[in-house]
Formats: sequence, structure tokens, C-alpha cells
Amino acid sequence: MKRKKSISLVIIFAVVIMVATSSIAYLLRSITEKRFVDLYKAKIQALNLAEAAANRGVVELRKRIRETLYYNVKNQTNFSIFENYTYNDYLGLLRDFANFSITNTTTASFYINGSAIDLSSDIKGNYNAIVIVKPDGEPQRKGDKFIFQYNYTIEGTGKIVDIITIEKNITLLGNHFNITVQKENFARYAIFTNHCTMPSGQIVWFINQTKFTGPVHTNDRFSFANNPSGYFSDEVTQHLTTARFYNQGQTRLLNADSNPPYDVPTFEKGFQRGAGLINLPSSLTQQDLKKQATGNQNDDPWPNGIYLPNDGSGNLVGGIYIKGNTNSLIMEVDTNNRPVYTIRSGSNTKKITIDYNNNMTIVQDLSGSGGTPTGNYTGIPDGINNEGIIIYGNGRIYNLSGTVQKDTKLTVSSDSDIVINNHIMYQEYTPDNPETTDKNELSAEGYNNLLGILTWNGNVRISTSAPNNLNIHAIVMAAGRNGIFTVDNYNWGSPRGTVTLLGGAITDFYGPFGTFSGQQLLTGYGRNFIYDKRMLEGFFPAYFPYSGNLISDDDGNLDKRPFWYDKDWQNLGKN
Amino acid sequence: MKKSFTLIEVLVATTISIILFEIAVTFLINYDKFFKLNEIRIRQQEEAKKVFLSVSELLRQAINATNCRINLIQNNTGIEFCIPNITSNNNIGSLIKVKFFFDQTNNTLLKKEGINPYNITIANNIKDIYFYKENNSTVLMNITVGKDNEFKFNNYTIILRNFTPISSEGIWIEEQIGEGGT
Repeated sequence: MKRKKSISLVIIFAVVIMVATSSIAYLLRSITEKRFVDLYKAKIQALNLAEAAANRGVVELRKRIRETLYYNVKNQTNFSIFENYTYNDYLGLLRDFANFSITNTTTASFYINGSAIDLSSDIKGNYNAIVIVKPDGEPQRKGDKFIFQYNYTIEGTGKIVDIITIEKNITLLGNHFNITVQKENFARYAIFTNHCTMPSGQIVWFINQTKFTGPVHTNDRFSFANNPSGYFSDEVTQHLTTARFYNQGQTRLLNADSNPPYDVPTFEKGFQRGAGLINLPSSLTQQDLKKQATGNQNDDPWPNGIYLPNDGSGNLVGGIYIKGNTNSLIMEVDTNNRPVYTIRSGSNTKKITIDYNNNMTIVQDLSGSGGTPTGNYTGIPDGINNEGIIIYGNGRIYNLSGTVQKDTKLTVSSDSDIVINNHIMYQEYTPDNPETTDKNELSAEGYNNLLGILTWNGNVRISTSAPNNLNIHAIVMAAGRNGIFTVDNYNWGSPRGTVTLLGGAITDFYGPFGTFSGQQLLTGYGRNFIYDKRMLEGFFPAYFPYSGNLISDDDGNLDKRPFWYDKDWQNLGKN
Repeated sequence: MKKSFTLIEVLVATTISIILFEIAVTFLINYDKFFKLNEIRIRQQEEAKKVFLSVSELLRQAINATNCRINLIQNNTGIEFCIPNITSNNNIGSLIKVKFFFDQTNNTLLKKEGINPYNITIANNIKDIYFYKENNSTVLMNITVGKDNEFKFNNYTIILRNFTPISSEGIWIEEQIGEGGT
């Protein structure tokens, strides 16, 4: 009987052992599998943290170049100190203006650290990145502009510290990029006013129909009405510390960028109040421009007429200089694609054809003979510094109109009023697509034709004979005291449609264009101002004046997608 | 006096023993089946994970180069692309051609990388695998592992980091021309 009991016990034990063994094997398999899954999860999490670190590096790099460096340069008044960085201290610009550390003469860098908690995750880990910038070519000086060339690399590391500790490294290889430091040109402003009122003192309100795509500045204060109010895609600066808000008719001055809920404008790049005063250019600058047109010759003894200053041997040394009032200035393009300027001043009319291909200028008298005689001259009338074609009148210029030839960078400048009587358009531009009513595609980006219209002591006016729905492709500047860009008889007659300006307007006061009842145009023109984005890239009209400020800019390559690679695989994973 | 079991007692005890034994055996058989099934599933998933890890680690680095683009091959059952070989100066020294392809005969996923003449087995027991380009920055992968009780995973997504086209004219492509062994 005892034997039978023993056998039963053995059988029971055997069964128990079999079940236990199977269970343990199954459990061990599960544990192994879980470890494998944990490893896989940790690898992915570490990779994502490394990518987050590198991406933060890109964002921080852009911020240091576009904000830290930009504002530090703007606060600098001595342009010549940038010359120092062109001699074996290429990275000094980043060290002194963008808070980079220089570890050796060839590397500027900064670090970023953080934890996964910062990224609002419950992952147990941390990340860090080093942003490395190296010179990529020698700095260049082009006139009043310094160009610094760099490239960048960002090394991101993600580390998971949990049941398993694992680290992952990735690298972003950035593109070559340029930083430009230059004197600020007035042409870069979409709108600049010394006083943000009409000459009569009437306030100019920015409302929801106000939309500016370039920098906007006033030495006065801006006034905003309604919610939504104006939209500004670029930096907005004003000298005074308080802005004016309509506040449902109870006007308020506030040191704020909105007056919710009544007046709320949109600023994509902020609204800086208390910015430094930017003075419109002085008469000294005017004299400089005049020198470019006269070839630094004394015009006092010259009788009224149209001159292309030359050295007496047929070589042009200045621009086109008109002594006396100009009755008309018509810009055309001939069948050989050459720019032609027909200028009438009193009894003298000259046709001036510029032949870029043969570096020659052909002068023909159509009436009278005052000024430079008929003939073929060597060179083009692009001033002493050869920046571009310059036409300067020491009186008024009436009846300005025509087409700016595609290869021409031109500035029409006058001591007094400049009056536009017809369309002024670039030969090459991208027109607006009428099918897309919600946006305006009008642009001159990618083209070389460029016009500046600059009066020193007068106004830029649109005459009563100008057609309805007028097109003006130009940067317009009325630099003198009380200077405005305006429409003659703006408050008289019938509505004349819209003035489409492709460019910018820089004036002392905000000039009236028409009168409105609500949104209904009663007289004059409505405004349709489209900013010429080439101004942000430093492509300015010839001899256009500079303000006293300095600015920095980059070429946009920081926005291009950097090249990504897995550093661990590159170091260890390759065959 | 020796006490003995009655016949009824013996019969009841035997019956109970048989029932208990059958229960135990049935439990063990089912347990074994369950264990084996799960082991098969785990192995299938391991094979799938090997594919995901191997392909994604390389494919996310793929470069959209002018002379080496990402191509789906063998009726979408394979993919070929190039990975840059970065030098110590952070330049692209060369491009490493990588090819993942399905060997239907042996139900394996093979990899050929650079000038290595041999195919490397990435995963076994693959029933089918398909690659799709969702857009210029995303590749999707569908995979089935095993024959019976197959494991399927669809739309495994791999985001390409270097999808912006770059010119690679003049950069050497490390590639084994012709067929290699396994």
C-alpha cells in the first residue's frame, strides 16, 4: 500500500515539475521579449530625443543670427569695426554680436541642454546639442556692405536612462550661409514716415485693410483701429513709446501692441516702441548724389540743358544731369532691347539710348541743343561709383512715365517735385493672378529692373492727367521737410480706381490719395501697395540714401533643410 | 488485523485518479500548444522587428541624389537607395548603395550594401513584403511573416530625413556590380 502511495506522489511531483518548468520557460521567454521591446523602444526614444536636440539647435541658431546678432548690430554705430572681422577673425562677429564661444580660431559654438520633461513627455531621458559654425570662405567687403560666409553643423545626442540606458547621436550638416552687415538703406522700408499723420495733422489709422509685407517705421507713433486691425509681416518700429488706439472713439495712448478687445493689430515680427530716431537724409547726402550725376564737375557755369558729364574725350564720368525744370521724362525700351530716355527741358529735347552690350551711350537732339552735344559716348551714365543709372534734375520733373528696361537699375532724383502722369512699370515682373482674389502675386523678385524716385525738397505727386487704376513700380521717397507721396486734387472729382505701387514709400508725412466714406472711395485713388521683397535682400536703387543705422541680414540658407545623418551608424554601423 | 480497501473504494479511487490524470494531461497538451503558438508569434514578431529596425535605420538616412534616387524594385518587394558616406571633415565622401530585396525561394529578406559582394540575411520566414512611397518624404512597408498563423503588419512608416534633392554629380557610388552570393 505504501508503494502505491509513493507512486502517486511521484506522479504528482512529476506533473508539478513539468508545469513549473514550462511556466518558468514561458516566463523567461516573456522577460527576454520584454527586454527586446524595451531596447527597441529606448532606441527609438533616444533617436527622437537626439532629433529634438538637433532641431532645437537649428531654431536657436536662427534666433541668434536673426534676433541677437540683428539687434546687437543695430545698436552699433561704428560701421568700421566690422572691418576688423575681415582680418583673421572671421568668427569674431558671432562671438561679439551673437554670444557664440570660440573654442579655437576655426570654430564658434554654443550648447543646448534639456530633458525629455521639457518636451512635455514622460520619457526618462535627456538631450543635448552642440551648434558649430565655421568660416566657409573669406569675408568680403562690397562698398558699404560686409558679407561673412559660414557653414554649420549640429550634433544632437539623446540619452534614455531607464531600465535600459541607451544613447543615440545624430548630426545635421547645414548649408553654407552668408551674414550681411550693411548700412541701412531707406529703400528697405515698405512704409517710412517721419510723422505718421497727413500734413494737415489728420491721424492715419491702420485698420484691417492695412497689410504691409515689409519693414514699417515712423519717427512718430502709429495709430491702430478695430479688431482685427492692421497686419504687419515684418518688423514694425516707432520712435515714441506709446501707440495710439481708437478705443471705440475714446482714443488712448498705450505702451502696448494692442488694446484688446477693441483694437488688435497683428505683428508677425513684433512691434518695437521707443526705437531710435531715424533721420531722413541730409542735404549733404543730396550733394553726394548730385556729384554722382555731375561727375563731380562744377555745374554753376552751365546754362540750362540736359547734360551727360564726360571727360572731353567722349568718356562719360557721371550720370544724366538736367539743369532747369524737366517738362517730361519718358522711359522706353527700343527694338534692340535698349533703354531709351526722352527728356524735354524747356526748348531742349534729347533722346538718350544706352547700349549696355557695347558700353556706349547715344545722345540725339530732338529739339534745341542745350547741354551735351549729339554723339556717341563711351560708357553709361551710371555715376562715379557705377552703381546704376542716375538722372538728377535740379528743378521739378514733370510727366514722368514709361517702362524701366529689364537690365536697368535707375534712380530718378530731383531737388523739387516729381510728377507722375502715366504708368511706370518694369519691363520684367510677375503680374497678379486675377483668379486668386485673396492674394496679390505682383512681384519683381528674380528680375533686375529697379527704379527709385527720389525728391529732396519736394513731393512725389500723381498728376490729374494720370489714368485711372495707375501702376507704379518704384521705390518712392520724398526726403525733404513736409515731403509726401500724394495725388493732385485727391479730394476732387470722381473715384479714379487704385494706385498699385510695387515698391515702398518713404516720406516725411503720410500723403493723402483720396477720400472715403466708410470703405467707399469718393474721390482720388485707393491704395494697393505691394512691397518689393528684393529690398530685404539688399537690392536697392542706385545711390539711394542710407540711414545712420546698421543692419544685419542672412541669405535665407538657414531655412533650408540641413543634411541629416546617423552618427552612430556612420562611425560603427558601416561595413 | 490488516485493514483492506473494499472494491468500491478501489474503483472510486481509480476513477478519480484517471479523471485527474486526464485533466492534467489535457492541461499540459493545451499548455504546450499555447506555448508553441506564442513562441511562433514571438519569433514572427522578432523577424518583423528585425526588418523594421534594419530597413528604417538605413532608409531614414537615404539621400535623394541626382544619380541615385530611392527606387522600388521587384514589383515593390524591394527597395534600393543610397546613403552618404560622411568623411571626418563632414563631407560626403561617397554614396553607399543599399538594396533590400525579398528572396521568395527561401522566404528571406536580403540586404546588399556598398561593395560587399555578399547578400546579408536580415530576416527569415517572410511570407511577403511590400514597399510603397506615400510621398517624397515617406515610405510605407507592409509585411507578413510565417505561413500558418501568420503575423501581419501594415503601413509601418519611415520618414526620410534627406528628401530634398541634391546634386551628386561626380560623387562615387559604392556599389557591387553583378550578383553576389549569400
